Amino acid sequence: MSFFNWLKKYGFAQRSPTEQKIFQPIKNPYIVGNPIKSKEMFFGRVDDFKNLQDWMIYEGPKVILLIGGRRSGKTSILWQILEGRLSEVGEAVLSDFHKIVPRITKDEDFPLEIGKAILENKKFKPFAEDFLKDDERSWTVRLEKLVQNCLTLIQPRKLIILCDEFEAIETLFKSILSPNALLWVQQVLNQPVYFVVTDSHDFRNSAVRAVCEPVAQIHPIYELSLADSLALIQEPIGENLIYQNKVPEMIYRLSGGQPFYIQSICHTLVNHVNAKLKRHYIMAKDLDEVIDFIVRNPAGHIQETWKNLSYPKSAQATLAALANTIRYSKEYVSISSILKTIGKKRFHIDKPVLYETLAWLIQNTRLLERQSERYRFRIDLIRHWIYYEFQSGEDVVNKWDQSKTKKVKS
Amino acid sequence: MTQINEIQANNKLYFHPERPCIKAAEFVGRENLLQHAFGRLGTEDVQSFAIIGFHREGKTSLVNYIQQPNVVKSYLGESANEYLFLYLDAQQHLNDEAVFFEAFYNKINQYLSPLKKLVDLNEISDWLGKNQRRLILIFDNFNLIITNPNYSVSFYERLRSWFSTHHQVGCIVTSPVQLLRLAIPVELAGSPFFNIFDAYGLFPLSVVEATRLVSERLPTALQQRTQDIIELIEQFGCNPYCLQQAGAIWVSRFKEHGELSFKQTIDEVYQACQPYYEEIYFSLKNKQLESIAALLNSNNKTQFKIDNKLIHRGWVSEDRSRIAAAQMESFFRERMGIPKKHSFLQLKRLMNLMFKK
Repeated sequence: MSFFNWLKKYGFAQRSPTEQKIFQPIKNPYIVGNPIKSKEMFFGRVDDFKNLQDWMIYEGPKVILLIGGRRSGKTSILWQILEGRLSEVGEAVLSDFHKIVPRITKDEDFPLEIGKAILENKKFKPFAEDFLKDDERSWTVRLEKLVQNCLTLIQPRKLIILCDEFEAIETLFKSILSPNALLWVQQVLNQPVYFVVTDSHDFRNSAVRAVCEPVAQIHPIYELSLADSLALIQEPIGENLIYQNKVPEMIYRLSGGQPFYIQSICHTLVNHVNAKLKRHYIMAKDLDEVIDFIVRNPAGHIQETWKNLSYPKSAQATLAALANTIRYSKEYVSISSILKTIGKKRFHIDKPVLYETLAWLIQNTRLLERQSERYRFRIDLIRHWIYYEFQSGEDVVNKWDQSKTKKVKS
Repeated sequence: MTQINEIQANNKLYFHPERPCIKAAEFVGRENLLQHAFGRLGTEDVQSFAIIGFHREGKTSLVNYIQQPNVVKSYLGESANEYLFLYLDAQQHLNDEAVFFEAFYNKINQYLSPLKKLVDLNEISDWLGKNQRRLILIFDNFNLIITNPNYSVSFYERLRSWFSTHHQVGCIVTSPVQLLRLAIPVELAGSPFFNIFDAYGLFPLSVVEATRLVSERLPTALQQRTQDIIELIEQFGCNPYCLQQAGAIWVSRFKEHGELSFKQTIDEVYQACQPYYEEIYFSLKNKQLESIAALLNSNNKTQFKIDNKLIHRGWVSEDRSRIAAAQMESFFRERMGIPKKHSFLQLKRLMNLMFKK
């Protein structure tokens, strides 16, 4: 008998999936990275949709700008609208600006691409021939006509144009597009047409400021409430997985109510159950193994968040010092405790800089929470990752020191 | 035909350090990682991921294994028939976007639609939708694309948009380091492209998996030599490349010299693995080298802070007290000029060995 067969016989070797017949793997419903398209996997945001609906019914702002950090769920909101969440008020079409921008080389391409996005809605397909036929009308004029046709078809409902990753167009306005590229927007805004736009910034420095800002409403997207988070944690998986007391609340604390992180933790948890635990219940200690797996195999977003914190220079070191100070999930720590860690682990930040940086992080990011001059991470999973990666000042300086000097095509 | 040749002819598994695993039967271990990987591919909306592992850690073997129909079926059941895998290796002349898309559409048309030529990402999605298929693109050595200045930012945005909009398309990329840690341009560093990936690290095999890798490939005469198999793993660790090297040389020497060959094998394997150890050495940052040097220099080994990465990559033992594989330790000592101090414990072990013999 070979050594491996000996191990296998006495249960030391892992069996292959085909050999595991008792436990039936749980189908993983959680989506990490892609926007949530199905209604069943989307939880919460009731007030956000109510606001959007009211603005459209009562002819409020024509351009609604959804602002929030990366992975806050803006695009998922657009997909829910596209899938009919506001169907009583309007018919939605989606334009992904990352998709259309590479095709735009001159002013007139912009209305053409928006027209094509409108025609992707099956209801509006009959207007394709008129829009795309070869004649002398400009694309701006054709788009105007297309919008009128669509409105006539769906009246009294409105047309909702969803614009994802709107900031992608800004670079074109700095290079090849002139204000004439926006003529169609001016025309269309006079119609019962609403734009729901996702962007990381407001219109202050935008090329569309003059056209959009007077009729725009900024709508920030925040974390889910505790109740919505618990629903997202428990409902998609149903009775396939029973959580021990407080495990859902622990997931909420780890994710800070951020739907992306809830999906990420729950997705990994189900995979962990299928791969290792092979049972239909979860205990608190199982969650530790999941956290360990995530910090060793982090989502791109966690690393991107870190990488984008290069300004101010002390931001990364401050977060690392905080992560090395907090001992348990719910703990808030004082500045004096953080300073002790800074000295002990050589993070090289002095007291005034620490105060300033903490204030900057509270004001400009949603990474930290403050309670009477004591601090903790809003998303505790990020604390775990930072602690795993950066346990001293040298780690912060050395580990992510790849230079970014290479030139690329713009 | 000698006994071993006969066995090798009957037993199709053999050591192949020069190439990745191609057939499912050649692949060993990574059960946990595979469950996570198929967990992402098997959801209603296909989710992309990156496989991160050091050179020769088994990235290409893993993606080759993932795309085997019987493997897909064992993880995804009946829905396995919906999956199509398309493999592109960035090492093979993907110098710029034009070459990339030419290779991409050529492969797509070869696999998907021999009747109609598809030349647009939307057309591909339509085809997949109509035919109820899912497409997983495998971009091997994707780091070469990311660090190639001939690829514009819009290239990534186009791909991201495609993957996140169409639920039946996803991708697997491989890279030796985390994508955001590559020397990427500033414009790309802020791109949401990286958000679509979870990154799965390839770590060394477990001892059980390493044992399986070696013993399944050995001829019967060597399979019984349990002590030698364990010795081989202690000497070269659980990295599949080193084990493949070790096994190949051991079998070959056994064919030539019979029983006396094992000790000679260890030396020869060390020589063969040296370039690999050099690669590891050059990948280490100063801080990591310092901690390794301190580890090798000191008797009180627990006082040093060792980077978690060194432990999880299997280069330093879990208890942080030594270099995980004896031969890798010899290499580091040689390379860093740190001679071995013979502790009392080591002398005692040596004495025991001598008297046993």
